[in-house]
Amino acid sequence: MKRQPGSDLPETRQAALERSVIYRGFADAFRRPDGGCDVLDETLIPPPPPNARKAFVDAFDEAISKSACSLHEAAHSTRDQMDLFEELVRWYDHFGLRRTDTAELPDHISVQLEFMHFLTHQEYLHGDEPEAAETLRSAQREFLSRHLMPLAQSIEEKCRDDLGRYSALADQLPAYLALELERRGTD
Amino acid sequence: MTAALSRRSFLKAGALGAAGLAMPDFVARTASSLEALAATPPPEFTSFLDVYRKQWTWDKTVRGTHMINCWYQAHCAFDVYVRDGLVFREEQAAEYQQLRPELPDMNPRGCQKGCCFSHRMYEPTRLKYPIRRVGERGSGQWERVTWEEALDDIADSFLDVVTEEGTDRVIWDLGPDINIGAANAAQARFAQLTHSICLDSNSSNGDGHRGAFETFGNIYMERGIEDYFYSDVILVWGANPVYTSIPNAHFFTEARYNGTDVVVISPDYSASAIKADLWVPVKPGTDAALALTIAHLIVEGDHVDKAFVSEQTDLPLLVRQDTGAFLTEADLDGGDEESFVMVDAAGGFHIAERKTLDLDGVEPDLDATLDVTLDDGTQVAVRTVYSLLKERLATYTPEAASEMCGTAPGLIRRLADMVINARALSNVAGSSMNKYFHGNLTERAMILIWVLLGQMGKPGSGYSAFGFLANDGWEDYVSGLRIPERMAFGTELGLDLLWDLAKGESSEIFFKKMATTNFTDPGSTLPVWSSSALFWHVHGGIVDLAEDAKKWIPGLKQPVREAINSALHKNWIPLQPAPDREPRILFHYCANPIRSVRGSQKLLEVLWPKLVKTVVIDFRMTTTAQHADYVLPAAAWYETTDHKWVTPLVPYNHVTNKAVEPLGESQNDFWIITMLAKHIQKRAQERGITSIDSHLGKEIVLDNLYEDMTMDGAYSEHDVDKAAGAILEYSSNLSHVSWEEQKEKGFARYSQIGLSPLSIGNAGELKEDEPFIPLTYHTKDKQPYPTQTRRIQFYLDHPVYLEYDEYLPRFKAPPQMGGDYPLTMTGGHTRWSVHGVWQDSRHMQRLNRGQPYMVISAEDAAERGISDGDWMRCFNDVGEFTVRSKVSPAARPGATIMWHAWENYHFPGRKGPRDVSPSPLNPVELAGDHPHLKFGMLEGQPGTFDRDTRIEIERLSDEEAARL
Repeated sequence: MKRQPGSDLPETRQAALERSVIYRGFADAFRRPDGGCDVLDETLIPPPPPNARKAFVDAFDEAISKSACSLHEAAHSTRDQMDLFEELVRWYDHFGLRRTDTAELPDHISVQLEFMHFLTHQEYLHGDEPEAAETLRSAQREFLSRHLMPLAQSIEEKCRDDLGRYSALADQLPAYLALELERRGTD
Repeated sequence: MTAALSRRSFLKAGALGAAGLAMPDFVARTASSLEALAATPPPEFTSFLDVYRKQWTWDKTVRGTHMINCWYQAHCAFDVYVRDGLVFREEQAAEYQQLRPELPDMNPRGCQKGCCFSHRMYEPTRLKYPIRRVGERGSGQWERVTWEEALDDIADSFLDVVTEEGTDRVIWDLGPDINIGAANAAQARFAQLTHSICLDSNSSNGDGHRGAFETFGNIYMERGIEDYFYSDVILVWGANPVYTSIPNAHFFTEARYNGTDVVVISPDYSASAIKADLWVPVKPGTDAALALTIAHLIVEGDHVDKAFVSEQTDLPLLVRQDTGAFLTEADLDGGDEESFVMVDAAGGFHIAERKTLDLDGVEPDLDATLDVTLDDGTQVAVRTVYSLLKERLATYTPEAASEMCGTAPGLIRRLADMVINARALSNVAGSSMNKYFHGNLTERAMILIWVLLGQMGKPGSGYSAFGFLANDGWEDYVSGLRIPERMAFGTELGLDLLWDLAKGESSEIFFKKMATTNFTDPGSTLPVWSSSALFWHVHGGIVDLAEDAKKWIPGLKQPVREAINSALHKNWIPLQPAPDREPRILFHYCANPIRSVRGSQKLLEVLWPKLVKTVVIDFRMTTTAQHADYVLPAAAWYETTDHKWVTPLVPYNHVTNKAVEPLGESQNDFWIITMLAKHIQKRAQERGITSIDSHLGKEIVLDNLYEDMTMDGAYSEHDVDKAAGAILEYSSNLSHVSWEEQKEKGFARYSQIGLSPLSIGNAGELKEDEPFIPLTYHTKDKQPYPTQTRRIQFYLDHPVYLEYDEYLPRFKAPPQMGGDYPLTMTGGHTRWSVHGVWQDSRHMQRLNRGQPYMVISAEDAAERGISDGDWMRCFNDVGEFTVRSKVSPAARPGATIMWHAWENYHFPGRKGPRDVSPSPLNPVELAGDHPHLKFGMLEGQPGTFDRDTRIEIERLSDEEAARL
């Protein structure tokens, strides 16, 4: 049997690796109609429907579909959009990252999930270094609380529930993030 | 739910096989790779406040502007601040030169819309990838597609249509925001290479300044904004600059500090009226009565500048009383049919020179009335235009006019005294008058005031009409040829033009004539143009709304449909595609006709079913985009490099630099249109299609379209910057400053008006240190005007003008468009948006009520039991819409105001003011076969009108309002 990467790791690092992959899966799933299928469990997140390119627009592109739920934090927040962008860019910058030219806006959920993918991946790499690990857990906790979780909860609340995979994504992300925060609360 | 889940519930079996960093949205800023960065210990972090410890710095600052038609205030240079691939803010770049120490300067320039564009471009309404309709048109069912899919499909439809039905079935619906820069050059080059049709929307937008066109043969006349400082009376008439021309409005205030009187003439107590020295209220659409009364008082008081009108106008020319036509040299002795006749006090006849206005000592008798013997021996009575005019004006006493326009006689006299005694009289131009059915008559009457007083061509004086100033290298780029090469030599047109040159015609007349050929047969090197208003009426079915026009318009001689058909049949007006050739593909570029065209509900009903494809290029989901087959996401104005036309008010070419990459998959217009050519070429090659003949007989090479489009690769889809620079390099009026310098500074002062047909009519010298004064080539240098008589022309002897008694300016009561209803629905540009672009901007919505409203007077509201903010039904015989009320003491009783440019989807039921605006074409504007009444670029075409619309309003019950 093929050996799973990280299977011989300490539990915390193994967990960090798995969490990193899950964040990546969610980031892909919110970025593209057929993204994240290689990672996310199909019993929770069904595979893309045949009309995925339409359903994704219906679900998440408020520029096009009146009933869509925005994936941008600015649309769910009372904060000034550029003020929000600045804080997020500062987060990414603080951890040595810069958005690519083709990236979504900094408040897009896929960008925020990708940032969490990075922090958790870094936690996996530095899990044996207590100070570094604590720094990373602290950053994750705060980023989740300030940005990603409120955004995910608002999306869950506003997203239509008749969109199959995309409704499931909107439902399951806050469920996962709740696990994450629960875990971070006991770290 | 979480109790039943664990982390591993979310992971697919085997998912960890793909473990590793995968981050398409990020790169490492502080390491050589993401992997290296991740391997580095994380920075200190205790709370989110840590991320704020570093000083914020910008990655770069570039100069930018907004490629939108904000017209009289265009444009403003901004510093655009960039960090992390995002534009965070912009700030006015206050570096415009002060022309003279005593003159106010332009700094800083910019309005609240420009100052928040960085926010606007990132709002949730921004389009980020191509979409294709998957349900019925307008059903809101879309799917995301790739550029490859979209362009291949559009290319196939294009090839199907042009090979099976002709190139004129493909239409470019061009809105007001075309830039006469590289983006628009790509579109125009595509159109000229494929002989698809470009719609000129200027008159359809109600901006045609038909009265100026009828009088000057030209609408292009506007001054430098600083020139208002030299005026001692400014008439703000048909404009509201304090509301809509924000960067320019301070010049009027500063002129007041200099002793200038600012007079606002308007139905409502407008934002500009509040800042004026005198407000003259007038009933909507009746301004001609006011203007003619002032003209009457000028004549009655012997204040006419007789030397000026004798030299510059048709007032001394003789008119035959038997036919109503000008007396010509041919009438007298068989000479030239185009030469007109004056008579001096001694009875000597003189031919009015066509190549100069200089009278060479002749003193024509302005009041002459006499009998003349014609070449065939018959005797006819003739009179000067001036004598006819005086007779007509005599009926416009202040008391009589007051009955027509509602202005008190004493106030009319006070205004006339100010005007007559003004050392330098100017006006602030807008386009309100063009949006009235009889707006042409109003503008002719207004011009009469300035001309009778000789208030033209001097500092601080003169009539302004249509503002436009453009580079003159654009057509060179579009055609790929320089001007001498693209004169269509060898054709009838080319010979005709050469003959004009040989005859010594002025360059203004020459280039304007060249522009008129764009509507008939532009030869092989320029695009084919068509009147947008005519196109929508004939092909779009809007003419159907005018079936009852005879009930609405007193004196209408024939149904509007018949008038259009007759004008087309006589070849008075060109229409492409011809009425029997249905359009098949519509590209909407900088255009949003379902929102903007009066009566646009007919377009969806009549035109849309004929279309194989309708494609919108835009950065937001407009009303028209909602009814399209494809929407192609365009770059925003800080995401591309280009430049934009302006007006002589602010004679600086303005540049926007690409500050950041286009968001998502959006692309700049130049790329989109060049790539369309590439896909057409590819699909033509794959389908074995080589070339076809266009509807005008030109060979259209389809399997080499991309090579032709890019001039064999010299300007590929990636070369918008290079193309923009080439256009300026080709320009006689902008090549004095290098493209690199213009990009760095963000603007450059034009060196001269140039030769573009979109500017040459300004006819004056643009100097480095003086405000521009238009028409001095005529008033000072005595060059002829591009009219039938080569003079400022108040008398029009065209049969239609004679039939409608519009051969001279007169007042006609506003028609009751839409039926006999008590309220007039006027309008105007909003303060909070330019067209529809900012209508749902969060920042702008916070500065106004955030949704459409109709301004009504307190009296009209009380009569109908309407309170501020109530929902109202607005209706007439044509349609209805629902809107909230804004009860205002500034509104005139009997007149309502609907500020412009809300999208259909901002109204309940998607119906708005255009649903009650039938806007029939005016038959006199269809006149043709005339030396100067013919289609030109942005001028001479029939207009559409919404300001005469009559409505009734009623309050919705609480139950009805609750159901909205």
